[in-house]
Amino acid sequence: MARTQWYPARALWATRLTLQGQRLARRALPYVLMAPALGLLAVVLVYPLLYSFRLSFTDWTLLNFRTGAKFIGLANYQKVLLDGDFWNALGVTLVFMVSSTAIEFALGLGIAHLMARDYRGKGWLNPLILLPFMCTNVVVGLVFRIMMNYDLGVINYLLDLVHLPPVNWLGDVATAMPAVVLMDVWNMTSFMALLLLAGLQALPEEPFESAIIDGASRAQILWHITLPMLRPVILVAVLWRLIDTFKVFDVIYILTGGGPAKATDTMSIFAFRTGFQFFKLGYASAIAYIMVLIMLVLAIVAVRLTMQSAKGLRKVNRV
Amino acid sequence: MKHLWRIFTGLAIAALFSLTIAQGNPPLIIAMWSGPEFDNLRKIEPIYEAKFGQALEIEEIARDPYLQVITTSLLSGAPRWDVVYGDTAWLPALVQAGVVQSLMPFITDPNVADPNLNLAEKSTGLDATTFNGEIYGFPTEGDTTYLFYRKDLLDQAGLQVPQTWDEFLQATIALTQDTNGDGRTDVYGTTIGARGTQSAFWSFEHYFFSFGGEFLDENNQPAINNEVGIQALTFYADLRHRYMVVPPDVGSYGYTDNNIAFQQGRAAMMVQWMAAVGELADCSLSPLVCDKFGIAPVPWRLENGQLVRETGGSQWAWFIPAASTNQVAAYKFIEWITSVEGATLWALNGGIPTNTTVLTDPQVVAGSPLQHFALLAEVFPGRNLPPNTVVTNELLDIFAAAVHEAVVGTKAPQEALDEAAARMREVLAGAGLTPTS
Repeated sequence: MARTQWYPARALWATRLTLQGQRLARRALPYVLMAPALGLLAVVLVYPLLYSFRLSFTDWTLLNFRTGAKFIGLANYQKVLLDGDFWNALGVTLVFMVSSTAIEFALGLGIAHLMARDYRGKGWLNPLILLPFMCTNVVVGLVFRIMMNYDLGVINYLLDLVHLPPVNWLGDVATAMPAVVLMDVWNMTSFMALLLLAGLQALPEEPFESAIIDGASRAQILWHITLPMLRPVILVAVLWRLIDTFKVFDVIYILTGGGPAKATDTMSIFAFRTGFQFFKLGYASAIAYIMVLIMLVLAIVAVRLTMQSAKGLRKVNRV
Repeated sequence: MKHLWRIFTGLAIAALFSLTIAQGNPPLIIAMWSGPEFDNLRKIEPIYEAKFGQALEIEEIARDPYLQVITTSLLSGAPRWDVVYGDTAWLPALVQAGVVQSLMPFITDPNVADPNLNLAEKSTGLDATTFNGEIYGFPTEGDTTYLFYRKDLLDQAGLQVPQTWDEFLQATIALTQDTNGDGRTDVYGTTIGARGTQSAFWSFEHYFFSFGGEFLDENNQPAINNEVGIQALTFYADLRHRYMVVPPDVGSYGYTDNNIAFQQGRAAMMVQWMAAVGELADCSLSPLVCDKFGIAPVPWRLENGQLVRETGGSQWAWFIPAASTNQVAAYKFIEWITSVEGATLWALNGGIPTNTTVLTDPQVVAGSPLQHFALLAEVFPGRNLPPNTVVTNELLDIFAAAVHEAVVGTKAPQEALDEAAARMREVLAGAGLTPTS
């Protein structure tokens, strides 16, 4: 009798356990599936980040590699903030960021409008506009270096054809930054255009139709309808380019090497030179973390702006 | 099916066995940068393998990031390479970091070293690989510069090959010409390098040392801003600003840009690395100038009424990483490739032998383009190298920045050199090489 009473209770327990196990397995499955990717990320991303953060508080150089680096607290950060080369690099980077992004945005918006229209040959011309963006940065840098050569470059040759004096593009402090911006604009405007085109094509047609019926001019439509409605996309595109230009390295390194006289010495080139030419990795890590901090601030500001803009747009749509 | 498995397993075991037999010793892995030196080593590879039964595996690494790749990999302690080809200017810091193997245990071991090993033959570059009395590498590719000049243009102008810096300056002024009368210069008297990287130093050092410049004084303090140093940099910068005998954008010129200017006929003369001889003498690469140029020693300076010939240079070497797991075989290889036999092969393939016996071998001299090894042997004794310190690389960068700034005109030569000297003092003191002030 006792046995017959015992079995149902045991069976109940077993069933409950099985159900709990299944539930647990169901819950754990996503984590198990993600584990290899997360593990890989931890190894190749998180560990180096933490390691370099620790490095930024040490005096690690090639010279004390054998004896071991000492912990020096915030000394590297303090030294960076007192380093004239750092402030020069920050200034150069900001000038490059703002001027490149502004020109690329203005041109990109125009190109996006053209690409959004229906015209003959759109099928092959639109992909053609994207060609510069598809070029490798190293190739772009090398080609522009040849094109901007004072004597043999095609740009000065074209200037000569229209009786304009040659420009010392890469050898003059005054013209080196415009040369770098010119190259970046050629390279990346199509990317900006592509993002804005996607935004333009997603806009509803009704506001434009009613504006035309109300007799609004093209400029009024652009200013009062297109740009406000496109704001979230513009913010993403501009932020993307700002972050991208902030960490630019390869293309400028190849075109000017940071010269002449540090006129194009960006933060990334400055950090690279310190870290991988002088092998002062502690100091270079501090520079890199200051860069990360600046980018983080930029990203937070941009995310907030985007969210505010999206909220505003929802309100407008509700009205 | 069972038969198939047996056949497959048998074949796999046989393949593994034959591979082990064929391999014999593990291959010697050599780090080499791309370019003529890599091509040269590839030609030597089958000869070495046939002679010694030792397989070589050459890893080609791009020139621009070579130092970064070498240093980061050596510091990691991974046994990636057994032999590394590198500039001796990098060696002191790598030795200090403990990642390069001293060659002394092999040199002094009669079971390893060749009984015919003659260190005196390697003497021209051995100083650059010796620290605290220990040899860390065997030298190869001892570079210096020549004066490259267009014979036809000098003849047209009725000029002799300049022998002093005054003659050089007069010649550059005479040879700078607007040949088509459009108001723009078509041919410049010379061309110089002042790109905003370390290459500005490597271009200027020949002028600097030829003028009698001194890098560090006897107290290990920077002497680049002494009277002679300022004079040399003023001369260099004036070629652009005062005399306008160089292309205006030389602030972005390095070795290749100078070569292109000469190849295209835009520069009538240049002080250039000897490595350019082969390329310029090759009519498929330089059709405009291949049969019109000559080479001569870099101009001399006048000192107490005497002409003194000095120039700059660089020295490359083979060395063994401390992490190599095949060090004895690595030593045997670098000993052989710098011996008379190996260095002769290296030279006949287009390389530069630092081995003095090979350098004066008539067969090797005759085989070099324009027979320039005869000139090399002549100018080699006057060659100066940058100082051998653990912070040399950083000192060169500081010096290069000063050269660059003076040439692009953002600073006067004296101001640029004074600032550079002050920064060098900080670096030397930071490394414990001079007392802190």
